[in-house]
Amino acid sequence: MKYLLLLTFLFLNSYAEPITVIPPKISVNSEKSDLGKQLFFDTILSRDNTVSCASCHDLNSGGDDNLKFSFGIDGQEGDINSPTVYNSVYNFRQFWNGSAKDLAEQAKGPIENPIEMGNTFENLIKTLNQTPYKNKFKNIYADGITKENIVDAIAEFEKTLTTPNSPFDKYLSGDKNAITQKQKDGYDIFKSKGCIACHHGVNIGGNLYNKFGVMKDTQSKRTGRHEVTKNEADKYYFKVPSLRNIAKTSPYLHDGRFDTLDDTVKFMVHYQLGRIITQDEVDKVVAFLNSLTGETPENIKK
Amino acid sequence: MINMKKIDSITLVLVFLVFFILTLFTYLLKTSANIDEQITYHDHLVDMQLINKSFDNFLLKKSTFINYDDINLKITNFDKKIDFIDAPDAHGLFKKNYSNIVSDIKNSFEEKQIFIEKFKSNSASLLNSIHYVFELNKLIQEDTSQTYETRDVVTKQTLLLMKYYINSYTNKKQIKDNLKFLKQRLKSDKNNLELELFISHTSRNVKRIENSHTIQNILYTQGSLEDNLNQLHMFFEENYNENMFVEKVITTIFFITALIILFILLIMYKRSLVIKNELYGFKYAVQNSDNSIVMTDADKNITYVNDAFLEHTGYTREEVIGENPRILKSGEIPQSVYNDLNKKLKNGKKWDGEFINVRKDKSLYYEKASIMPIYVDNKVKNYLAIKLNITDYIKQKDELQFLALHDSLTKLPNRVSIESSIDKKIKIAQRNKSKITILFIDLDRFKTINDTLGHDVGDELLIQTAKRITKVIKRV
Repeated sequence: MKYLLLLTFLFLNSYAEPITVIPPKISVNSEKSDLGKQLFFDTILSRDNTVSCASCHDLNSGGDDNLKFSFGIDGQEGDINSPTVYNSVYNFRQFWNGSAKDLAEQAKGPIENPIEMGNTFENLIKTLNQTPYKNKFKNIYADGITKENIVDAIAEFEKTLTTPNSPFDKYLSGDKNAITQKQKDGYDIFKSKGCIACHHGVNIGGNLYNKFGVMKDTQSKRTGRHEVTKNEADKYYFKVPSLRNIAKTSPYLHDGRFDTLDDTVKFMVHYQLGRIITQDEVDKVVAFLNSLTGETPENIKK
Repeated sequence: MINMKKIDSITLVLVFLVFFILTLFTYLLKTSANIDEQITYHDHLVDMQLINKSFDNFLLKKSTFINYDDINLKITNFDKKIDFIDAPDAHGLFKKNYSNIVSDIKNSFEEKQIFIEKFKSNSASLLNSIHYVFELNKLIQEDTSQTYETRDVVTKQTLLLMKYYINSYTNKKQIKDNLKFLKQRLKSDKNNLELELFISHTSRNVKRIENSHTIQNILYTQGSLEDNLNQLHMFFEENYNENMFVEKVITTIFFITALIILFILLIMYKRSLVIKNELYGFKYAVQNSDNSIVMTDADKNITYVNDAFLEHTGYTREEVIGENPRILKSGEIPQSVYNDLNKKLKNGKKWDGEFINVRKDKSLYYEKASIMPIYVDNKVKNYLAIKLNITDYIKQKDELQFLALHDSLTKLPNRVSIESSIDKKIKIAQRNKSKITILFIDLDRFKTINDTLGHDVGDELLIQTAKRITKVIKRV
């Protein structure tokens, strides 16, 4: 019986809350982040001057485009759901399959992806050097416009894209009335059903890989980590996404297969946790998830 | 002559010493900065070793919920520290390149990260699932529709799983048998959702526990990241010791050389002291000599005169310093003498001769002079004149000559003088075939005057007689 006792306290025993409050601000180099912001919104990054970062990461609608798959140049459709750029600085790796170590490395991806911006850095640097960007880079970077400097500026801007002060963060910080009783119940269920095992930490996710389809096959076309490592054992392992601002980032999952949180929660409980959940419990969890929407940063608000 | 070369060599040694000390100082400063910098690399490495320990601790954890943000932060830190240690200028700081060790570290860190990621996924699912197995067990126990046997096997299976989970000895065959039995049960009772979930969770958990044990075993047996870190640690340590040794040797060499130089300087100083004392002696002699001593520069402007000079000429020192010695020229000496003087000096020879010079008060005086050029490094640096005032001597000489040829009492030419004079006159008369006359005057009874009136009166008589005769005859 002592094992039983031990296990009962497994989750309850954790001395600190498994979810931590998002810091109000990250210190950034404002010159770089201003330049990065301009690049982020500029379609000059794409080969035919039609697509910017903001095309797929709309900062006024949750940091993604609310499409199942995004469209790149020439109207090409991708095959993976755009994740939100908000709070991505707190993800331990970037991209669903974790192929980028950090934001700067991530920013290199879409620019050269043929179905996203379809550009090359060689070409992009040439183009940028014929614009006022030339001087702007020179003012900040000694070596002017280079691949590393372009993504460094964008990454610096993306660091500012955090969404603190969500009702749930306020609740964690001590304001017991910041969320409703239903949401509190939802948080308890979130913990006791085991969601918390993967969705925890400052980003409520985004700090480990796990298999998509722990209990059952999920019929996924993309294979996640396996695309990077080519290791059979890594098949269907994806980066666990952050749940911050989840209410604003439908559709859900890497292939955008669900439009509602209700469906997604049920799917996750069934496929990932192998548990049973009642509709009432689902409602409460969804209510809890709605408390995770934070404030849009000052420099983005319209 | 003054040995100028000695002073030059002292300057040389001093300059060398200063240069030497500066070099020593910069070298030591640089090496100590180097060593400080190397220590920061060492510190980073020690941090990495500690982080690696916490990786190992992490991989041994399993029964508690873990917030993975911590371990991710550690991985990021470790990664940054590798970049720090692997920076190109870091390799330059050390004597040998250690990129092969760093690349080993990178590889084993990659490997370890794979384990950590696997462990994270595995552990998250396992923890969650094990927890649910207990819930299911409870549900099944409370469900009266389950047979007694099923409930019994489920309980046993739950406890076995737990034992296996905490790594105590477990009969794995028993777990398999139980699973087989429960699956059999499920076949006959297809709508038993709780049992179905129990089976699917336990069978997956067995695999997950196996996975986590495998990772832990690999960790125990391999530990290659730790080995590689230790290797680099040893490298740093060896490098440090080597550096310290080299530094010690070089410092000692520097120290000894500096001592030797100091010793040489000391000897030179002692020697120069002796010379200095000698020079003081000379200076004293020069200053207090009765000879006039004059020193000029190469352009013959006076740079030094001694007291005797001032006394003999009547000038003050301020009046003559910077002047040309020609201010003393009286014009009594023919120009040819001066020409000879200049010619000799020009040829680097000493000149000896006599001058008739003029004082400040325009009176004349006689000097016997020696003038010589002073050569330093084959170049005329100064001229030195040593002059003896012979005015008194010349006067005395004239007087003696007079006394030899005249009577001391009457001042008339004496016998020697008259003889040579008569001789000369006779010779002239013979040559001219002329005649000469000699007037011989005797004073009669002169003896009586001496005897009666005394010798003083006799002398007075002679003086008066000489005066009177001299007055009336034509001077010869």
